[in-house]
Amino acid sequence: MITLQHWLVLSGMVFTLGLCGVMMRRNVILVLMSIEIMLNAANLALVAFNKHLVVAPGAPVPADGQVLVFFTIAVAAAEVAVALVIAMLLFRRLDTVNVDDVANLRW
Amino acid sequence: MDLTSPWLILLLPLLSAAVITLFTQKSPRLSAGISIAAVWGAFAVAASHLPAVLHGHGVVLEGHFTWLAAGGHAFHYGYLIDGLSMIMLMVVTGVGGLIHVYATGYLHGDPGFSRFFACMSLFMFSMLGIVLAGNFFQIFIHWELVGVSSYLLIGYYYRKDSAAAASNKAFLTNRVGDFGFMLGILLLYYATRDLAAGAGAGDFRAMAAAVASPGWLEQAAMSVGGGRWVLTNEHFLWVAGALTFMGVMGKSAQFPLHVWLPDAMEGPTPVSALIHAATMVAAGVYLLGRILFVYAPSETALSIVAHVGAFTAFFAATIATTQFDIKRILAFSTLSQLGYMVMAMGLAGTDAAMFHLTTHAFFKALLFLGAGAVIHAVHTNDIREMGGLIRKLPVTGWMFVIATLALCGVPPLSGFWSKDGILHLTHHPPEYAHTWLITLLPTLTAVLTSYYMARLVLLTFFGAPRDQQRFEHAHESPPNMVLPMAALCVLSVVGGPLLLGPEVLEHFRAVTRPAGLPEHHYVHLDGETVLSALLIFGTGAGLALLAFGLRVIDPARVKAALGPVHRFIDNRWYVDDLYAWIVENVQQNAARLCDAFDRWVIIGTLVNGSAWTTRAAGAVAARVQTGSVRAYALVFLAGVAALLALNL
Repeated sequence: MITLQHWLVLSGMVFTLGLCGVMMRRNVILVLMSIEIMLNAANLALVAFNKHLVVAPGAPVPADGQVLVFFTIAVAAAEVAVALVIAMLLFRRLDTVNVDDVANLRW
Repeated sequence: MDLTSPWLILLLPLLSAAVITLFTQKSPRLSAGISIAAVWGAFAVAASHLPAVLHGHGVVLEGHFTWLAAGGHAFHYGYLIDGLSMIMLMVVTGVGGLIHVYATGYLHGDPGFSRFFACMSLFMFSMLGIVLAGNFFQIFIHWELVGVSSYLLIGYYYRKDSAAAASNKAFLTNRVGDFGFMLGILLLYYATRDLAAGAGAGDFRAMAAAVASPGWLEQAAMSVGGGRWVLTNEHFLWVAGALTFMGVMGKSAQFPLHVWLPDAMEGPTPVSALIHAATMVAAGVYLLGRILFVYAPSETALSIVAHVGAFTAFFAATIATTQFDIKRILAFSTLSQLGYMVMAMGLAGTDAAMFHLTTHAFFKALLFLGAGAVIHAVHTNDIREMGGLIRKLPVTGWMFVIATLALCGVPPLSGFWSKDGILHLTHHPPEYAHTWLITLLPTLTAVLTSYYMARLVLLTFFGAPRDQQRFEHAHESPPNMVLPMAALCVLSVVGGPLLLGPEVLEHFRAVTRPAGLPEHHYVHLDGETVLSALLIFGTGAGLALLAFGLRVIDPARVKAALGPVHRFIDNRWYVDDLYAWIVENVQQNAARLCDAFDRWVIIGTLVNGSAWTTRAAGAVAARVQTGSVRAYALVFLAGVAALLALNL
């Protein structure tokens, strides 16, 4: 029997994986991918919550979690589009995709 | 529009000033014509209401519009014609009109000719606004306007340093007085605003009625301090009276704010005649007559007015005896005569003061115009360089002599009647003013007046010429200067009962005397009065004749014998030096202190200090922004972790 806890633990692990990627990776593309992983971890938690929702007998089961996930996916797609353009311009201008080399916006 | 509407009295000079300034600067003749037409137009309009004033008592004509309404305050602008303002109207427009004509000759060919007449028209507008004002606020506005036009006209020769300095001095000295005046107006307004509600703000008649109503002080105390202050009758009126009197002291050049008037002689002579002898300086006296209801209930206030006037009269007369500048002698003489008028107001003799104001306007304007003709002829102000001029300027000279006799109060000239009225007041003063300052000084001043005027006439017109070259070039003035002088000369002679008859004179006195003041009984033409007037004149003029005419007494030896006394008087009692000392040592040091406070505390510490602190804090905080994305992510993570830790 797979319970909610299993899903949440999996989601937490995936999220931590993504977080580690953001913190440790220097390649901007990989950083973006890690962010996507974190987003998908959150999506996983959302659908899991929705699936294990307890409602009164006979009442319709709401689909709020799934709907929210669609929103997240849509927003993430838009965000990735912008982020990839930034990454591409970075590469064109500075000839690098290493985030540590891009530290010009400072005091 | 009705051609006799009193609005025209105000509008004509204002329009004239505007038209000259905007359109006719380039054509002097047209400018002069417009200006003169405006004055005489105002005179005609005023004169059309004269019969109504002569036949009635109290207010004859009144009109206003609401200039400003804010909250419960309505500020009116308009006119109020009664006996008092009618006399002033006739003097200002009549004497003013004559002087305008004279100025066309005096300033002929001057590059600023049009500007002069624009300023004169502006002055006429300002002055007539004072005369016609029915409330404190209008009178204050015009009080300041008169100050501005006086400033412009004193500084007419603005390229001359002394003229520019004199105009500043006049303006600043007047501001000192006007500040007190404003405080007085506000105090009176706030004290009576509940009692005089319904009328316009500061309306004279409503205020007079409020002051006269019983128990008004309790009401005033509620209005001013919400009942927290206890105003006692004596003190409130005393303070309000003294504050408004400061305005009078500034404009009418009473001690200790008299210092500007002698310096104001830097202006062209017609200006000295019109503004600084006949009309503007008399505005203070007129104001006293208008607001005597403030002073009448308080003997302290009346006593202050009377004593300041008496002292100024004497003080200025002593200085006039030592001066050598023809216009300055006349200026100090004006101060002295204004002192008489103010003193008469303080003795509750409104009618006597206004009568003297009128006759003084005639003969003092004539004296100034005569002095102007002399200056025009010999190109100097110094009477030591004149002498014997009666042979070169016979008409001007004899008219000057007549005006001098009128000023000295020789019967039956106009000055005799008016001065007699004032001296009579001082011989039987009310209880509160029964001091030697009132009973003795005015008579002594009259002797001094005769002395310095006789000295002036003898040194200028008689004896041998002391500067042959100037004497040779002297010539009689053109007709447009002589004719106005002749008109003033006639008025100086017949300005008393000879022109009007004793009944009209009594009527004149009746219309200028506010209700509720004690009646005075004047003595006319009895032997004693004439004899004392002649005795006063004889003593003063006789001394001058001995010293400067017959040369029996040597003035230099008298000067040496008097020593420090002469030095004291010759330095104008050191009043100007005292003011200079105060400005240099007290005011300048206070200004330096304020400057240092501003420089170091306000700018240095507060303004620059806060800027420096912000910049320093910014410099420290900016280090956080490293530009490293991963560092930001770490901080973000730490923040989220901290929030979670706090909430779970």
